Amino acid sequence: MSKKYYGGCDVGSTYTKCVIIDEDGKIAADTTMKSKMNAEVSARLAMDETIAKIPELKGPEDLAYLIGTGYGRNKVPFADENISEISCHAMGVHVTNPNVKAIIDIGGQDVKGIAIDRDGTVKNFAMNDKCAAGTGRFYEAMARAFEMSLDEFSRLSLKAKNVIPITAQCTVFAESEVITLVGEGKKMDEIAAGIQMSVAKRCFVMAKKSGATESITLTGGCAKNIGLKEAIEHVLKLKVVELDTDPQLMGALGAAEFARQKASAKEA
Amino acid sequence: MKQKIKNKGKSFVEWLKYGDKEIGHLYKGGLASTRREFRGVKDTMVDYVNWLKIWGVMMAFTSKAPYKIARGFFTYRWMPSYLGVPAFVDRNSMGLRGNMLKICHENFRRVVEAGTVYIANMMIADTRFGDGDEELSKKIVLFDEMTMSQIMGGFPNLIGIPYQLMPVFLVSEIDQLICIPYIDAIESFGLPSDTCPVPTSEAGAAVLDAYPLMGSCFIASTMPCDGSVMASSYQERRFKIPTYPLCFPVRYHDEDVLFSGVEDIKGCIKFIEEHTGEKWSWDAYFENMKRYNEELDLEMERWAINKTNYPQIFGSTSALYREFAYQIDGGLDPRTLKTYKKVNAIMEDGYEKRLPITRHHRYRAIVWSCPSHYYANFPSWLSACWGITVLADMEMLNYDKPLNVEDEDEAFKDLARVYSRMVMRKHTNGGYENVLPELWKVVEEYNADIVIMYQHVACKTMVGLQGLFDEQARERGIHLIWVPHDLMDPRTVSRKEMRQSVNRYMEAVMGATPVDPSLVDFDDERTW
Repeated sequence: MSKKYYGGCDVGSTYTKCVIIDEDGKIAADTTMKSKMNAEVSARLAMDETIAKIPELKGPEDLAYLIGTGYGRNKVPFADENISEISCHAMGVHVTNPNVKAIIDIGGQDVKGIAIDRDGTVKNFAMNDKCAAGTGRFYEAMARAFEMSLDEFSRLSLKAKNVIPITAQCTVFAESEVITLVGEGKKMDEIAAGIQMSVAKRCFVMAKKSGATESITLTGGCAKNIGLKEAIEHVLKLKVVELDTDPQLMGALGAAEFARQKASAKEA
Repeated sequence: MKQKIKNKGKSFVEWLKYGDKEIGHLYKGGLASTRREFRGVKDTMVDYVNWLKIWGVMMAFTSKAPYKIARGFFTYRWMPSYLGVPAFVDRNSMGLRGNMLKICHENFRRVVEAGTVYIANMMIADTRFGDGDEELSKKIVLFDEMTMSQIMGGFPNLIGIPYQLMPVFLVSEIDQLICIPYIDAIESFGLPSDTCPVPTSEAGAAVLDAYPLMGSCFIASTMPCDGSVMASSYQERRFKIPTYPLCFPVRYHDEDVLFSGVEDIKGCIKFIEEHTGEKWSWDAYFENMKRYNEELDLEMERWAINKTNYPQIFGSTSALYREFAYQIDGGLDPRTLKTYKKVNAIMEDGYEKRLPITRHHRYRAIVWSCPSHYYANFPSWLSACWGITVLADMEMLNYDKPLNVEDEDEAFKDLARVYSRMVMRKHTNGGYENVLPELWKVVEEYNADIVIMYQHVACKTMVGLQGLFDEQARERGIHLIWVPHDLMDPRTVSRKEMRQSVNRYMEAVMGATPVDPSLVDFDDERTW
């Protein structure tokens, strides 16, 4: 095999993402798939699918180095080592856009604010992993209450002229509050705007706690939620930096970049 | 082949000398550790002898009143938890070798020894079964466990017992699960579940009738928060003995309010005299406080050594002993001074030889805010897993001036000063400058790299300052690691989750690799 490849496998609570990069750090293949109950199975399926996209590779053992990350990082059997998703998101964003100084990462089951140092390492972070409020799970519950797909729901708030505040932080209580508001005949788009605003405020707290103040981007699955992005911009009073690469892949990309750096350091 | 054999031989010799490198597997699973840590031949001997001494102290305790103590084991749910004392000392000596191991054992043995005396007196005087020693019971003055013991220095014929110390406060450091029934009991009476677990557990213990019945009177205190008002009201109803509430001024730095504290002290002394028939003795008080001052000198020496590049004591070994000597013993028992002298001699020896505090020492740390009871040995884990050496703890940095032992008026003033600065009160009362700017001062004095910031989730006093802590730490470039906990209720935030907070920060921000990877993640939710 003439070229060397490096892998990153991010086993998240909702989605598993894999990225393979080449010696220059360019993405050669990637995969995003729904996580299975078993993290090991998720990792294997996602990696097999990614590897299949590069004809030179037969299996994970052909990768020069592979790093596992995400909540299921200890369950990636073919990983050479694992690194926390906080570090990987920071590195992924850094290699995508070195000017970004902070991240709000909204995953399936937690929200993080991450401040990035000049070399892509983590300066500080804050996270909420105690409840589902403001996470992907929260959005799933809200979309269910609206009887819409996540994509439809994410665009709904863009049409709203007013914002109906959602007072409950807890996913369960917020869902019943939303159902009550819908029952009262309140406008759906305005309720949706209230939901986006409540999540944005939660993200603001995480960002502030981690010391993130400028040049912020969004990562994780919820970064694709346009309504949320707009609400965050409104709350933070700044423009969120858009990344050229899929923001959901940042963890896996960061892991692959770490793999590349570590392999180079070993060779040196 | 020869090289392989040579390497194996070398690592075997190293093992004999320094012992186990990975110890995580010893602390998971059942109540106690799966086996004792092997610390190398020499240190294992030191550890083993001291382990026997702890059992010796406990055996000596049971011999004081075998029947009544045995009955106590079947009456009070907290009594069997004290069988976990050796395991508690094990956890606090996790990964220790050399001088620090000896220091740890000396300090903890003295605390255990004092604890056994309290329990023995409680069991002997307990009137619950109709055969309590009434003479002894009359001599006992019960204190809220947050209250200092120094006043009892003037009553040499009386015995002061911090009432909730043994049934609730200390035992919750030994057995992480012990307070759960207390908390559930009082919450089922309607107490909101976000109240601080200290007064919650104390009130719950009263509801579950977990206190032995004795004493001539009770001295309550203003703890750092309003939760104590609730606990005191429950307790007074259960104890049914005269209560004197010590209520010191909150703004204790202001010398204009000192007279109020002095009046409170005088009132308390008068109250004890009235209810026990004993007279306050200045001679006895001065004699006891001379000893307290001597202990204080030695404590100051410990602080001074720990501020150098060669600290010689760390973590709970240091903090719990200081809190015990300052608040619980208060200079009354000569054995506390003896232990101070012995430990300081070991520390001085280590300092003169420039010995590193542990083989894996990497970071200098301060712990701030109220520590978790159910994970009292958290600093031992920090050291063994990440090489973080906790040089000082907020709760041990209390009043550091000697008490007057010549002039009666001045002595009253000093008593008021020291009582106003009791453990958990000094930093959380009297204005934010006692907790926020004070931290940065301590960080500078100890040249610390890291602050382990305990985030007691039920403490409303500290919540308001979190943002300021974050902001000011960032400005100063200090690594502030928030460690959430719920003081006495491991169901809210488990030990594992507490460790996870540090693991995440060390990996993501510090880019550190653990000293002992086996301690990063292990399951100890059912252990003592």
